[in-house]
Amino acid sequence: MKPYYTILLDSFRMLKSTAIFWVTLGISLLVALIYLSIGFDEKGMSLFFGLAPIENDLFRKGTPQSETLYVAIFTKLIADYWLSWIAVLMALISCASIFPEALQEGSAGMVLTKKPSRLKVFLAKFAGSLLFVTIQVVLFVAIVFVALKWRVGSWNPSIFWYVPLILLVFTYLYSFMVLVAVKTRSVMTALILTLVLWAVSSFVGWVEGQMYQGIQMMEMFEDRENEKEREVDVVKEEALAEDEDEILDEEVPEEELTEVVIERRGPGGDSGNGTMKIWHQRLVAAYAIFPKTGRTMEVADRLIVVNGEKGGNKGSFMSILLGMDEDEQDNEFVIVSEKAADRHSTGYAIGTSVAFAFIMLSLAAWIFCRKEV
Amino acid sequence: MSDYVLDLSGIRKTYRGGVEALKGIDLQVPRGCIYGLLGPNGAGKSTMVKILTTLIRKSGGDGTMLGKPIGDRGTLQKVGLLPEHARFPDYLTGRQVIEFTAGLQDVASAETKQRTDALLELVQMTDAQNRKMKGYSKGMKQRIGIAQALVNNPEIVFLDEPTDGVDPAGRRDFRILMKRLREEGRTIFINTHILSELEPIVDRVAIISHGELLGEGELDDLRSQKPEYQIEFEGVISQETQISMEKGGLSVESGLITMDTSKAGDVQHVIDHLRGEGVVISRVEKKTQSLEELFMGFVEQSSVSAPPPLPGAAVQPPVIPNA
Repeated sequence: MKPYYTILLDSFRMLKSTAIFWVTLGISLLVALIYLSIGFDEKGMSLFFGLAPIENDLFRKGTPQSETLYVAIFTKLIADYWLSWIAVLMALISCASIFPEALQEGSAGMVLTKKPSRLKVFLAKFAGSLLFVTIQVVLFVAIVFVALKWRVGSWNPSIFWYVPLILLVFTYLYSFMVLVAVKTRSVMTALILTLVLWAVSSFVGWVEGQMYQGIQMMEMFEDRENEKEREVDVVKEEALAEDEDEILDEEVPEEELTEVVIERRGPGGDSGNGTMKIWHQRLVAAYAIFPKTGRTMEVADRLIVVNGEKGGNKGSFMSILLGMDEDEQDNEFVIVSEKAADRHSTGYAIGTSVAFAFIMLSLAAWIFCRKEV
Repeated sequence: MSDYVLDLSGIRKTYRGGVEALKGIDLQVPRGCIYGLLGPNGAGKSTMVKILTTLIRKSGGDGTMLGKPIGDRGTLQKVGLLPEHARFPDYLTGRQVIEFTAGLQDVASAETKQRTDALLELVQMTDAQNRKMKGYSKGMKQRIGIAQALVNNPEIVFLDEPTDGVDPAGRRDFRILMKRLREEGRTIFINTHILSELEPIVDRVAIISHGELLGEGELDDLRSQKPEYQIEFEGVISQETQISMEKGGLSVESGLITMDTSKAGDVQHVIDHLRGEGVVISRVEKKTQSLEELFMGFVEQSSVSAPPPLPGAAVQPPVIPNA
C-alpha cells in the first residue's frame, strides 16, 4: 500500500503547490460564506450577516417558504452554476498537468522505474485527482449543510448527494482529458479538447431536450385539436341528424372548421412532427455516446429534500420559490418541462456516462502502460 | 546466483520511423564493479538504461538483470536510478524527494528515516535538506538525485550522466562516493561522455557508437591493447636514420620516437642506434592509452565503416574538462 499512498500524497502535494488550488478553495469558501451570510428573522430576510435587511412577510424566520428559498438558492443557483460549471472547470484546470507531467522525460524516470506497475501508478494518480475534487466539494457542501441548520433550523443530509454527482461529472470529463493527456503529453491540448467535448455534449443535450419538448408540445397541440375536431364532428353529426344547415351556419362557422383542419395538417397536409421525431431519435442515438453532465446534475433534483419532500427541487428557481399549486402544474409548459426532465432515467443518464468514462479511462490506461518515455 | 548483475544478449531498439538506436548489444556486467558505458551523444547509452529500467521496450534480444528477465517489477525494487535530465518536483524539499523514492520502493518507514538521514549526510546535503528543490543549484539537485537512487539500498545503481552540471568539487565528491558504494558491494552502472570522471574509478567499460558495441572489457586490458614505447631524445638524428625508422613503422617527431610495441627488447636496438649517432636519450617510457585515446580510437574506427550519423545524433567528441 505504501507506494500508492506515496503517489496519492505526491499528487495532493503537487495540487497544493499550484495557485489554482488555493484560488478555487478561496472562491469556494467565499461563495459558502456569502451563502452562510443569508439569514431570516421576524421581519424578513437579510444578506451579509444582517448588514442588508430585506423586509418580507413571506420569507420570515420559521416559514416553510424561507427554507424553500434557502435550499433553492443553493440547489438552483450555487450548485447549478458554481458547483456544476465553474468548480468543475477549475478542478479540470488544476488536474490537467498531472498526467502530462508524469510522462515527461526525467519525471517518468523518477516514478515509472520503480516497484509499482504502470497501471497502479495510473490508477493512483487518477485517484489523487479525484481526491482533490472530493476535498473541495465535501468542504463546500459541509459548510452549506451547517448553514442550512443554522439558518432554517433543520439538518438536510440530502444535499450531500451533490458530492458523488459532482465527482461523477468531473470523472466523465477528466477521463477524456486523461486520454488526450497521455496521448499527446500536452496540458493545453488536453484542456482545450476536454472543454470542446463538454461544450459539444452540453449543446447536443440541450438541442435534444429542446426537440423533445417541441415534439411533446406539438403532440399535445395535436391531441387538443383532434379533440376539438371530434367535438366538431359530433356537432356535425348532430346537425345532420336534426337540421344540419341551420346548426352549422349559426354555431360552428365553416371558416373556423377549415382553419382547424389547416392548423392540424399544415399547408402540405403534414404537421412536421414525424420528421422532427426521426431527427430527434437520431440525436438521442448520437447523444447516447456523450457524457451527460447536465443530466447527471439534474439527478439531484430528484434526490434533494425540500420541506420534507424528496424531489421537491424539481422545476426552475422561480417555480419552486412560488410553490406552484396543482392547477398551475397542469399548465402545458410545466407538464412538458417535467416530462422532458424525466425523459431519461437516472440509470440511463449515469450509466451511459460512466460507460463513456470507463472506455476513456481504459484506453488512457492502456496508452499510459505502453507509452515510451 | 550468476556473477553477472546484467547479462544482455542481442538487445535491439528501433524507434518509430525506423531509427535504430541499438543494433544488438551483448553485455555482461559483473557484480560489485563500477561499469562505464561510454559513447558519444546519440550513441544509444540512455536508450540502454531506459530499456533496463522499463521506460521503453526493447525491439529484440534477451537479457536478465539480477537474475530476472528485464522488466521484472520485483527486480526494480533492488535497482536505483538517477535518470538523465532528472526532473525533481519543485514543490518537494530535498528530503521529501528521497522519501518519495523510498515510498515508491516500499521501504519501511523507520528504515526510510534512517537511510534518508545517512544519505543526506553522505551527499553533504543535511543542512539544505528542508529547502525546496526549486531553490537548489544543479549540483545540489544531482546530489539529491544520487541520494534518492540509493535510498532503497539497491544492488545495482544506474547513473545517467551523473556529473552533468556538477562543479569540480562535486565531481571529486562523486568519485569518492562511487568508490565507497563499490566497497559496499554494489554495482554502479554509469552512463557518461565525460571520460575524465570515469577514468580514475571505473573497473570495466563498454564503448558504444551508433547503437553498436565497439569494445568492452576491463579498462586496463583495453588500454594495454595498443601499447607503445616512447623514446625522448636531445639532439638531431640524421635524415637517413629518420627515413629508415619511419619505413620500419616508427613515428618520429621532433625529439620523440614512438614505437607500437609492448616488448622492451624491440626498443633496445633503436636506443643503440640513437646512441651510435651521439644523441642523448632523456626518457624511455612504456605508454598505455588513456581512456580518451581508447574511446576516440574506437569511435573513429567505427565512423570509417559506419553509415553517416542520423539526424540529431551527431557524433561529438567527448568532453574532457580540466579535472
